[in-house]
Amino acid sequence: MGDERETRWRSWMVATQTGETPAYEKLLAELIPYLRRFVGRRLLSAAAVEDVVQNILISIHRARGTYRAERNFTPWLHAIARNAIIDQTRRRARQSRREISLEADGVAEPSSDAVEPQSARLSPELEGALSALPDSQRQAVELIHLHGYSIAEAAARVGATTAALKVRAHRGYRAMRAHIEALRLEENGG
Amino acid sequence: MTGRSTEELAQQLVGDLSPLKPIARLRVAASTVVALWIAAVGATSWMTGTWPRVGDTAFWSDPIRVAVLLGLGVAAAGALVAALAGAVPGREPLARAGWICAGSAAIGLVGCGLWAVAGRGGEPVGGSFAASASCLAHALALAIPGALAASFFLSRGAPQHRLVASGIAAAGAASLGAVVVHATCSVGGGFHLLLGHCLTPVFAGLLLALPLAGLVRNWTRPAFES
Repeated sequence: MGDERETRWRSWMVATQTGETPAYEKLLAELIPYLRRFVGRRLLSAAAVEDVVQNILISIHRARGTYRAERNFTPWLHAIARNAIIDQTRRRARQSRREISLEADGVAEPSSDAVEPQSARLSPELEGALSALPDSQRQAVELIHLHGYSIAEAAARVGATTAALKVRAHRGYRAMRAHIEALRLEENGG
Repeated sequence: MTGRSTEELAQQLVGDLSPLKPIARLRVAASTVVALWIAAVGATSWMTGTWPRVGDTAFWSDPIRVAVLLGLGVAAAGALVAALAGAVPGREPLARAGWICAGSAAIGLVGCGLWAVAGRGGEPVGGSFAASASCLAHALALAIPGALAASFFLSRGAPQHRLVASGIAAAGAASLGAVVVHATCSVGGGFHLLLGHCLTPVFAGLLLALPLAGLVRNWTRPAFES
């Protein structure tokens, strides 16, 4: 079974290098579910799995010239997949270091099991700060910190890149903090 | 990633497909680098009339010189294997072995250099710097053809970290250059041996990594942009 698959993938990959699109189409169609399982065993979040599978497909496309017919295809594929998983893990670690905690900004952390909008649980002060945000920033803050979505999941929901979503959320936190600080200053001054 | 599905991405990749030549075998890439090095050595030796002291018994009876020659050879082989194999998915074990060889050789070379300084010190350091700079420049000049070839092969591969791969390729090519310089040079001071011969791979890696990474980037085929 494995040998048959290896032979099939290898012949499709060789045909791909000569520019045969039907072979490439068949190869990718078989690789997608295989990679979903391969990555799924190593990553927890379903959205992250899909992100990594897409990155692997792009890497395969870019590195397709590095495959040589006399070598096995699966180790080549696994090496690309492992590198993509490592990249994703590093990216996640960097993101979590960069993300500004709402708690540090004087805003309550969302509960991890939250799945429904929970604006009702917010204090009037926070609700006011949240509603003062532009739509795109409010949506980013709500998805990540009120609904509990990961950045990748939230980005997929709004159809934005993860980088764009992070920027929106970051600007949102800053604006909320400024809003709350201004309110407190007013109260103290008054 | 944007909101597109994986199946849509696959369709885009299929649409972007164009024929290409597979990357050269590692042994072909390594042989090309070595062949260019031999050509560069032959050309410069023929022009300058200075040939490596292969038959010089004084050279072979000096354990430090022999150890440095061996260290440079191992560093060259290890660094080039690390760079070239590291650019091919699935060849990581070979690349790791190259890194281990190159790293061990670099440590050994520094040890040999310090051994030479301890055993032969006393040379004027200023003069040593001038002679060392000359040997370093000579080794770098001999390394250029091989480094360019290695960069070309890197551009056809898929290195994980372009700058690191270029740096180690430069160190490997410069080690090859330093083998010849070491076998030709008659300056025997400890500081000179350390700065002008033993540390050549390190200096070359630091000096050439950025320009070679730029070349690798420029020579890389335009690829699908997500």
